Amino acid sequence: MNNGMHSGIDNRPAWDMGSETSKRRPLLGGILNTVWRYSRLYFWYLRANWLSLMAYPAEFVVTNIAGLVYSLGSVAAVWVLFTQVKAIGDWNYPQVLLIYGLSIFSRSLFHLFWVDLMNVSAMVRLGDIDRYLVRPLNPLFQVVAGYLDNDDYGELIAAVILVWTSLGMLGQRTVANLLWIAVSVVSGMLIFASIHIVGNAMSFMTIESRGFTSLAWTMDEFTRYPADIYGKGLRTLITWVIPVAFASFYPAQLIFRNGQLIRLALITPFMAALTFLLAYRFWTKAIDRYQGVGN
Amino acid sequence: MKYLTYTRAEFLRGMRYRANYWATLTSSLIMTLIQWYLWTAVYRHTDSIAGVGFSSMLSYSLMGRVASGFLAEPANLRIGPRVRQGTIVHDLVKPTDLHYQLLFQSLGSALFRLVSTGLPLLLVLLAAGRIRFPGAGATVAFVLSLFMGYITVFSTSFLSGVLTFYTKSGVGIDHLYTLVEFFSGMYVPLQFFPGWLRAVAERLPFKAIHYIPMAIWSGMTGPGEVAPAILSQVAWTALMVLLCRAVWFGAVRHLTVQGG
Repeated sequence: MNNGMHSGIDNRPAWDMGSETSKRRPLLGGILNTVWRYSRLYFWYLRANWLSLMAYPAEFVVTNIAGLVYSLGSVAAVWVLFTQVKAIGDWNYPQVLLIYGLSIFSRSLFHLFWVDLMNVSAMVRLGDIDRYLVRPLNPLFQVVAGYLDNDDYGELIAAVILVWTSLGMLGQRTVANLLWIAVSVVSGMLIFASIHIVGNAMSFMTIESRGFTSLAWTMDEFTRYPADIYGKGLRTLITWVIPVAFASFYPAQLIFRNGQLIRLALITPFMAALTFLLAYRFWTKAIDRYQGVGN
Repeated sequence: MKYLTYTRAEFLRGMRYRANYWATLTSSLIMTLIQWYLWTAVYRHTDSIAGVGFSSMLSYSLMGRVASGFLAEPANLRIGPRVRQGTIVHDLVKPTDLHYQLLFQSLGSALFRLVSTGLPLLLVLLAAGRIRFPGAGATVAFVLSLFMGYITVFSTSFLSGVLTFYTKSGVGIDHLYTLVEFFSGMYVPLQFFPGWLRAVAERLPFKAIHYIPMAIWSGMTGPGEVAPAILSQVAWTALMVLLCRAVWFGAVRHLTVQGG
């Protein structure tokens, strides 16, 4: 509306300053500029989301304490099992705990930052997604940045406790390992995100995709336990087709110093990046085919 | 009985949402496979855990998956929102009792989940030879026990919903549901618990949800122990229903609906 209308007066919001300068820059500068612009935008989105969460601080605290207990409730089963046996398959208690911990770490990061992805099929059905498509911003970015989940902090704390404890039990609490944990949970988050991006992108083509979405949820379950307990076919599926095994099982192998699987452990970040790029490509193709629901 | 109409209506409502049926079925198949592989891996180094053999454990766990839809936490009792939005007055003026109405309504959707996903899964497991029927007596006891299990599941959620009358908080039992599942024996049977924790589980009503029926089905509860197990479940179930009645009537008496 006010593009060039008010000469000399720039009343764009603070986060949008300088965004148009990218047109005059060479390629690398353009990319950097885009990254800088989106980072600042993300910060403002995050701030707004956080403030809206903090509107009811008591509810927030109670919900997340409950979330912590909720996560530990399912871990209790693992603990009880190991009061009776020494191993699940070839894996001992601290190893299983670490795998379990990485699994809920990746998953809670995904829930925390990407939760609105789950609503894409509803947005498409109601036509709300059209608003995102006409804005001069990446639609996926808008979906993801638009909402910060309110009840995953408890699960995140449970995950940190689990990983920290199991690293201690394994005698592997080193800085290098902690850095690797950081790399692997971000990779795991991206893998979960990719699955849900594909599942929800279906709704641009078929409108109805809740089935794919609920199936995407179930894939999480594979990451709780060591991936080599599953049969060969399933293991191939969760390694190379829907690579959820890279969200917990393979990255843990680097911590275990497991010679056989260390190469698979090391490609974790690359698998995550590749999966994400493919999922993103699927998403943009799906949007290109989107015709709207007509309301 | 007029309340059975609610059950029927809710069952038929389930049939109208068939779009995601294949996904629900695939999900439950995946969950079953995970359980199967998990217990196979656990029993790789041992024949018996706390007196439970592999085949008995597998049948406990797989039947648990078959019944999981039936014994799932009822999703939309919406007691808290009814109070907050004041629509509860519509429920109270009806010539039906909201507690019984919800009990029979949820039974309808539980039965729908049992028939639509539990039954096909059972057939697959039977065809694959992964599950076998126990004797006729145990099967009858199991079905009876399963229905009482449902009443306990429902009562747990109902009680939690009514309690939000008092606490006025959105946090209810569904936020702590893994604890209910854990103490019900859904993850691991109660024999595996350390002594003190077993004692806690025995004093909670949740074992009636999962452990008692599945232990009867899998033979963990020996033939001589089935009758006492059923009797204790009857007692627990009756207690839960009475508790629901008492808390419900107390809540209705204290109910204040703002505006409207």
